[in-house]
Amino acid sequence: MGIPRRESVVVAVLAVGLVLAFLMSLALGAVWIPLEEVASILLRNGLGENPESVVIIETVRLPRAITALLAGAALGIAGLQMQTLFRNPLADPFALGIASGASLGVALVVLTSGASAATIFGANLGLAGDALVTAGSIVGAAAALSVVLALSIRVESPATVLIMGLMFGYAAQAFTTVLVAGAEPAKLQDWVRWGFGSFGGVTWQQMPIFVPLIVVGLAVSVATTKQLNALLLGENYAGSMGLNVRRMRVVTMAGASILGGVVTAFCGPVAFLGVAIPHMCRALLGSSDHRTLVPATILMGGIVSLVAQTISSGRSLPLNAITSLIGAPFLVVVLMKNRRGVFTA
Amino acid sequence: MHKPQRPCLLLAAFLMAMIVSSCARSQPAPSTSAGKGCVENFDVATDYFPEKATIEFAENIAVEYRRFYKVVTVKRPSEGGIAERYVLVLCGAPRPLLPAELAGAPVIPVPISSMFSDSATHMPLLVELGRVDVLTGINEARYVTTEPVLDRIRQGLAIEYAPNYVINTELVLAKKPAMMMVGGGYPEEYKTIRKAGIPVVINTEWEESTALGRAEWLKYMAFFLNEEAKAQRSFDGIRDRYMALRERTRALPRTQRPRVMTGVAVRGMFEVSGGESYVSKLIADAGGDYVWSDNTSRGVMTVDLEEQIARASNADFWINGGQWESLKGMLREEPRYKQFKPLREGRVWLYNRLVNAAGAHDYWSRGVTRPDLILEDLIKIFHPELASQHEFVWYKQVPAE
Amino acid sequence: MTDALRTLELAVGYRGRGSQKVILEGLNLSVKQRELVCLLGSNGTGKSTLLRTLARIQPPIAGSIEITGVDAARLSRSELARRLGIVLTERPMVGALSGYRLVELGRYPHLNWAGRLSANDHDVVKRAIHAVGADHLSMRDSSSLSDGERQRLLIARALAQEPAVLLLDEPTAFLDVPSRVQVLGLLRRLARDENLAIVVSTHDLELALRMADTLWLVLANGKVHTGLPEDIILDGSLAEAFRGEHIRFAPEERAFRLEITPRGRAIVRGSGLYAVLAAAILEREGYEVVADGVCDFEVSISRDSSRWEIAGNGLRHTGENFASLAESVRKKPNGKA
Repeated sequence: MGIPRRESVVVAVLAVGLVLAFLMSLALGAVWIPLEEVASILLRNGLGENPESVVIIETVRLPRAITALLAGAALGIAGLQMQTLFRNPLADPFALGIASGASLGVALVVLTSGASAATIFGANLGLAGDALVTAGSIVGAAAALSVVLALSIRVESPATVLIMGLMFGYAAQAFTTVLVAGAEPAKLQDWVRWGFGSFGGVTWQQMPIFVPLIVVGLAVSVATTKQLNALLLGENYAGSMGLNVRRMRVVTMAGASILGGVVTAFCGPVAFLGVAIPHMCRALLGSSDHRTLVPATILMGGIVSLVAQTISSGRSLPLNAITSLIGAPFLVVVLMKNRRGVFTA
Repeated sequence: MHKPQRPCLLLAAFLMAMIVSSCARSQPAPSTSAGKGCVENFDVATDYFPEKATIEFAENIAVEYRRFYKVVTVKRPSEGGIAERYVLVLCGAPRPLLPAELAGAPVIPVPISSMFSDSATHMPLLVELGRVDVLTGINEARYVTTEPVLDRIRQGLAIEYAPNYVINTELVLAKKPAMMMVGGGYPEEYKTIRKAGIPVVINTEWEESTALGRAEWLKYMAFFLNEEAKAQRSFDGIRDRYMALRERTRALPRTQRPRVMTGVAVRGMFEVSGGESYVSKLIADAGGDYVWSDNTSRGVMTVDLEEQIARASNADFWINGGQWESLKGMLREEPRYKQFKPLREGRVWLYNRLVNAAGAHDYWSRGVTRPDLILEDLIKIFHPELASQHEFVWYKQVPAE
Repeated sequence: MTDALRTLELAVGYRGRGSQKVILEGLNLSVKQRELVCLLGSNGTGKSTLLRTLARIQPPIAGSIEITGVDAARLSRSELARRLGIVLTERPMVGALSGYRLVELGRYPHLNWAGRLSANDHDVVKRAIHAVGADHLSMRDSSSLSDGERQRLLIARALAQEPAVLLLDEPTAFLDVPSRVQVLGLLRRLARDENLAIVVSTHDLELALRMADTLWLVLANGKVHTGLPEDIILDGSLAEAFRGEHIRFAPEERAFRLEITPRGRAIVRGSGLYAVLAAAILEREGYEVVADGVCDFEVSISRDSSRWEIAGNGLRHTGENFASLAESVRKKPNGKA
């Protein structure tokens, strides 16, 4: 029987859609650069190139588009992994408290480091500015992840792990609040701005770290497609079919959390994409089979993310505002239509 | 006819007594503070404010003198806020009968004898008026760069009342300053302080869109100290100096004005001064051509990085950026800065020549009252030949490494 | 023929932190191919624990389990999955998964890392679906099926693993009576036709007695009594295991009966189904039905089974249907009162 026609078509359409979204995000901006010019700049065939357009595309739009694409795919896949592992339609990449850990790391860096003068443009922290923020975020996320993984090995049911993750997340948020309460206004501005999320902050120099981490995370999800399918019926059935459930739990949680943590480190906390995108794909495909759901989520994640990015810079609105506007209504509709829920035991 | 007149006299006397006693009732006991500058024998016909300040540049201040009291208005205490009014009554004078619209206004006896402040930008106002002696409390000492004030703090004559950004309300109430001047926002604690009887007045010099407008808040501080004469003299001097400096560049045509950019990159966006901000006007007065001069924002605004590249990549100078130690450091932080000519040619200037140990810039204290010096610094950057005698006060070129 | 499943001195229970609780021990059980075993026992006796241990969901406390002659502890997870399939009571509901896809999941232990199904895999899936009689369900979304239909698909899924042994933990719980009969009947057929060794735990005693080749009866003393249903009935262990207040196992009926003090005795005259049913009504109304001797009244069924007649204590009633008979008997004064 193989893969049904509808699903193949959907995946193909999404692939085309992704290419279009990518090109559009390069063409749209403060200045409209025609698609032919975009294509020629990308292909470097030098025909009709306007040097200003080249600069804009190469230094601003291209890294931003790549970041958005990868971050969206990463968040979508991480959300899918968490939803399948915990059989919970509301699970997202940050359900284990990873984002809260990352935020705490960033708060420790942004809100407390060094002496800061009350300047208007106090957005930077000195030489290591953004890199320091990224490092803080990674350390925070990694710490959160290790704690949760260590706990999960000793715990029987996945629901308990989820609750522990939530509790850990709340604890981290509480610490962060304390830091926020005692912080100076100039630094608080930095903090709030970090909280908006942004794909524009990743430079070419940071790509060699960002890209491989995301690609590895995506590869893990693709490689565990079969196992994810086995988990559809729950851990007991999956185990009886030959899946090493404990190991799969660790691999999936680590994979999802790393994807979520890396995106948060480089782009700030991006809301809603992780939860909503898997549901969008399930609805489009009409199937929960991961053999098509995984590629569809990767593609759809990239598309939604690029669209959100384009709207966000077009209207100077924070990224998270746009992703919430896209994601939340969709989620409400999906959950309402699915009266019996996607996963129930 | 005597007999019938006696009742009339009695009636007249009775009526007189009534009138006199009711007059006495409308004149409550005179203020008890018989301090320096207070009125001894109040005379309702005297104009107790012979030296009146006039406001030329500051858009947010208005003042009305009414012989023994002043009505001071801050038109925009916050974004979209309604005007605040304060009634400053000369001490020793009776409380005035106020019209309905001033019914809720705080009544403050002046000159004040003590004061708390929540901003380092208020300090130079006191120094310029020679009245640092009136300061008894500051929110955070580490941001103060003004020597006389630091001295006072060291001697314990002025205390710190919000050491970690948490206002110690009880301390404020215990010290009972005659007035509290705050820079912006009214956190809940200030409401409590007001209710406890300590007047809280707002100082929004940072909202002014011209450098001279900001400096003119010197007069605002003077209202409370009855030092209008000093303030007027001081400000006039500064204003004249500023105008004279401006004359040096006024006639320069656009072609002779270097293009100037401001700002710092944050996550793919660029934060810059708006076109109607005081920075933009300073640049124009200093003979520069601000790349965003056509914009209407009065403060700081955020633009997409690519817009900034489009506008400013060919600028000649870059002022007012971030906390950069070197050009190399700038590139490490954001490699895309190399798109901007001023960085490539090493013409990035910051006002960080005078910074205290805690990282507070003197530019934000003394710079507020001495816009003429800022202007001179900027002229020296853009047109060094027009300010050859001047030595930089706050501006410093960012070194290569 | 080697046993498909065999336990050696197996002990099952729970292992807590530093402590363990043994529920059943010294178990030496075996199941052959084409054999259907029903696991019976009151709640709390350890049925589920035993089954879960056999299914390797829980580790045994002691002893070992052999599957097709190989020690299960030595088998890798995949190898185990290719020999042993399970169906649990829990009913996972997965949206947007067709019946076919659900059964397809059973091929997991046979697939390579990519999860691709070969033509042979598809054949196995189709056969499994056909074997449980669910062909008409394979294209439907599994979440829209009834519980009985979904349970059938889950059995097919286990079949798709091509196991030698099938273990089912109360698969008929939550199902309606026709579905229960169907499922057990299906299992019986699968055991024979697919050469499987099947162990199913169930509360349906009467069905089990009818369908099972072997019974494993879990006793309160931690032992498991095994044997043919008829032998177990005869040796009284069934009656013993299920004895309760006011109920007893009636061997000749292979069913349970309520034990109450009879209001009186009655004789039923007549033969055939109507007589048997009339006797049932009398019993329900609390009378002991005897063949002859002293009695409070007699009920006669006419030869053509259209009328009944009650005679006794000087009263004579007659009627044409069971409802009136029941009413009549109810109103009859208690002979002993």
